[in-house]
Amino acid sequence: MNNIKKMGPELKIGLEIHCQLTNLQTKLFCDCLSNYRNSPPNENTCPICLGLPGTLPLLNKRAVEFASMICMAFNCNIPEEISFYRKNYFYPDLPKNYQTTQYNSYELSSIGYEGSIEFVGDSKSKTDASKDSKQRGRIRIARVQLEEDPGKITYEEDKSAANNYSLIDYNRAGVSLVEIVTEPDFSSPIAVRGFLNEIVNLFEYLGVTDPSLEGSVRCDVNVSVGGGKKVEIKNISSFKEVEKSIYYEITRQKTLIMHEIDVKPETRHWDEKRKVTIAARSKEEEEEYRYFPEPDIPRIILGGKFVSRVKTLMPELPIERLQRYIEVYKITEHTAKILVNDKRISDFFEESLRYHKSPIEISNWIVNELLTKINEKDRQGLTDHNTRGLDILSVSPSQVAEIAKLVEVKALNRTIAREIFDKSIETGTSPLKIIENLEIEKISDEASIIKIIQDILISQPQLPEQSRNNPNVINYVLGLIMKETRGRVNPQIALKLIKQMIESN
Amino acid sequence: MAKGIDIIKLCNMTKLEIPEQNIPEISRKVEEVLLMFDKLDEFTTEDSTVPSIEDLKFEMAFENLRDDEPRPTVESSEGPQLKFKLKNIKDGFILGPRI
Amino acid sequence: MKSLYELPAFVVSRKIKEQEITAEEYISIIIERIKKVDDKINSFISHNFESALIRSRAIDKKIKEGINTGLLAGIPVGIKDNISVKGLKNTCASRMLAEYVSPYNATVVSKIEEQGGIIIGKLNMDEFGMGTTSEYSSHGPVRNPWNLDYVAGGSSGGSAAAVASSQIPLSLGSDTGGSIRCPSSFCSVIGIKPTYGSVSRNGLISYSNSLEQIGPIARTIYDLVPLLNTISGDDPKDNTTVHKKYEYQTNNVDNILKKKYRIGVLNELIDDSETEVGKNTRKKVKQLENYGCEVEDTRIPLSNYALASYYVIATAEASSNLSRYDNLRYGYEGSPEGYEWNSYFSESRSKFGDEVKLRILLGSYVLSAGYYGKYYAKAQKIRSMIKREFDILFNKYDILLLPTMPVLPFKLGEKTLQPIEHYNLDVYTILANLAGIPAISIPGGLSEKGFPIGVQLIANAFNEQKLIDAGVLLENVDGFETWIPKI
Repeated sequence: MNNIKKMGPELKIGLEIHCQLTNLQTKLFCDCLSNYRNSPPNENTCPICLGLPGTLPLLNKRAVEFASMICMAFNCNIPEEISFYRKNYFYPDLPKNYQTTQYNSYELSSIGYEGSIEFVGDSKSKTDASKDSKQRGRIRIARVQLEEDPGKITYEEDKSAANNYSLIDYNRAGVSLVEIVTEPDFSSPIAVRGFLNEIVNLFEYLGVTDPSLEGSVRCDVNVSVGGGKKVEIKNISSFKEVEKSIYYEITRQKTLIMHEIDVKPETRHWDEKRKVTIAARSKEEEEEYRYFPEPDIPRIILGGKFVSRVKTLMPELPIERLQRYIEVYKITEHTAKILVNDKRISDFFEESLRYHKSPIEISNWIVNELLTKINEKDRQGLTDHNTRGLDILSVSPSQVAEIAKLVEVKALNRTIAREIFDKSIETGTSPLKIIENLEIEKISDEASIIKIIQDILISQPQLPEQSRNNPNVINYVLGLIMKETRGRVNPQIALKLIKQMIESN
Repeated sequence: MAKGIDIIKLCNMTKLEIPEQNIPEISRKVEEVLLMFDKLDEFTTEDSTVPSIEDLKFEMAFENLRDDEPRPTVESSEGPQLKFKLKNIKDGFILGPRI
Repeated sequence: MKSLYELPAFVVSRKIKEQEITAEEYISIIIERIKKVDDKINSFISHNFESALIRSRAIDKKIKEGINTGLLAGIPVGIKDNISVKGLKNTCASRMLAEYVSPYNATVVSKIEEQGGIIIGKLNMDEFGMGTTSEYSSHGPVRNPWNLDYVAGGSSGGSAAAVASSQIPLSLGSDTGGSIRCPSSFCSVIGIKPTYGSVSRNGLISYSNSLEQIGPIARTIYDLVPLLNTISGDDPKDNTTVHKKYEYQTNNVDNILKKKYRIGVLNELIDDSETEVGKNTRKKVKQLENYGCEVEDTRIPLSNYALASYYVIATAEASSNLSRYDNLRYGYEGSPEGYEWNSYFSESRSKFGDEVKLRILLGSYVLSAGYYGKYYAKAQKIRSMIKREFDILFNKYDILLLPTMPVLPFKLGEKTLQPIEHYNLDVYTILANLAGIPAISIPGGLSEKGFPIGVQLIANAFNEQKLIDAGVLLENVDGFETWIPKI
């Protein structure tokens, strides 16, 4: 019998993340558009990216810059010079039947190497059960390399066997990709999912890619169980599927081990429909990539000052922003993390602050009210896999700022404020407008306000006395009125009346 | 020594179809040339100043790389760009084999 | 009186500019000449006659209007079929590219047209430049104008033979391991391989990127220099070009003699050549000595390793460069419909000739996992060492002298069966490619049976001027521009 311990064999997971640099204007080696997504098939091509005979690659300077920004975010070393290699393999989506990439086996050629990243841990309620913040850890990065994306192959019929031919579109061919290779430092699928969410966020902070674009961030996985052979899984369409494919692969490998069958080192494809991995090719087959230095691209000398120059281009990273929120804005770590973990929400927060500089109040509104709403919608399946929910609500930063201000300045009762806010979110009307509208019904009705104040003063007769020493009492009464009337009282009029009545008491 | 080269495997790798009757001749030629390549094995040097491969690689300063600017839509002095006629087009796609 | 087609280009160009004759007349005569002669030589793969005539009229019009027309006004230039010319077929003498029409101009072609040069047609060659005789062509072998049963040399055989047979005054070839100099030697014309990085490769269909350069071929040094000046220069479309001032002169003999060139004679390589080649090369040494050049015997110790090093690098790069030919996007007629992709690729690529297939197999083998260090890395190391040996020699000498080819031209079909025998023909020419330095082949004389013998001169990187100066000296003493085959 085998001697696998009860707790299960050791699990090692590594990732190869491909990030398209969608925020570039042009492709990696030619001046075709980096944004290939709006062009009719094969229109976004030129002799270079079609690999026509005699054409030469012309490396995009900004692509090198973007890639090095990613390297810095992952705390990688950036060498003083980089070079490119050819990875030779035939496939119909590859115009030259080789991919121009970087390769470190014969020399240090890649834009980044030997980095590591603290991954903050998931505080977002999106991945429910995984909220164990002890999950956080340090992930080592083996290398970061710059390379070109291939074209796309499609079929007319869904079932590939039914097709007599394929259809090829080279619009994507030559778009810049940054490949980030991690060491096998993950020990659970959940950790992988959390990590991926965080780095997608990181890419967004860096401004190098728009992760909401389909296929802009992709991920291959390698899994080994119990110190066994490494199996690579490719062809995974989304991060949710990444998690599923790892679960499947763990089970598959454990089953093999249980039956004392060797796990073969191989590449497997994730079949999304059937939710299984399928053997694609063995390691021996794929190792014949015949790498050699790309003769058409000279060694690129970055120089000693390159790193310090790129540093000046670096935007504020999530981890830095987190620190600022905690230290400068005095927001709790929990709330700050939630904000920072999604750049769009964090930016929304910052924008709101421009209208009303009250970080704690505003952050609470966003985290407790807004995000709850979004998560509700999320559960209803109204958001896409990579996009975040902010888009589905017609709410602007100024609305949030207003409501926060109303609560603080006009002492709007929270319950009422919440209702106004809900209405505001649903309709897109500003909270002030909503209040004004509510006021219109009431203005003619000073008598009922007086009645409410009288009732309050009867039930709490000590109030007029207290208000002589404590001006806050008036606000307190206003709060009671608001509560009573569910906010349908013009606070100005109410305040006026409260003062009158307390003074005359 | 370069004996026993697996020509079939090499042909698969390079996507070259070689008729069976030509295999012996091409194998002979490959082995003949590889034997000539073995001359490289005779070359040894203790000289620590031997330049590495990198010595011959051209260099280019990062600053001189191409700027990230899309090409202007109006063509230059070269006249209108000749729209390249790709083979076997179907609805704009290139017809490919089955995968 | 000589016909216009026999005259040097610089002479004709002057006549055109002075409106003594029109460019149209000249181009018409050239077309007649090609039609009359080339059936025998097979130097052209395709013609561009109609456009050439249209262009010639445009040049005439410009001249009449007093507009500047450039260094090559009205001069027809033939282009090797691996250099892209917009709107023309670029077959590389391969069935793989039988129907490929380039949508863009190589940088060198644009530059020629800017200087008023007229692209007259595409020239025959060994398939993708892989050969030393111009026999491995889908268009049939090029024949040597000096004897039609003999090879013209390769791979730029069409480029050299068309110029040698006075069909055209100028052509472009490409030189990966001697492909300009070998046929120049065999056909008795001048051909130069410039310093790596001095001429743009944009539009040159790659065989071995790190070794090759485009270069001009002419009957006289006075025609060669304007074309070399035209095509040289850095190019934003080729990141391996070097920014420098490239202005070569044809100096007069007196000024050249003042430079007191020191010439290193690669003695062993002369000794290793066929007797008549060796004898003729020594004659050249003597002539330069008589001009007052300092002459000394010397050697390149590592030249023994050059052939293996060269062919490892060339085949490795070629195997990758030629991967793109899968007949999906361009190539020749045929549709992938119904095929599984592997079998479509394999079947499509069977259109490569045998020599090309051999080199793809070799190159793929040497790059395979586990062999990189044994072959490719080693070859590159030796290459660096050879470059270093040249650096040392150029501290002592301005020019190195050796034969271009170790043998005289031979009969068609004589050296195609044994690859090594074929490859050995390149031993003297590959040195300059490995080191990335300029080398020229200059007509040196004729053998007893009337076959051309070329002499090769090599200079340090970016020292083409020295080679041109030496060319002026040798042309002056020999008058080789008058050695014309009767055809």
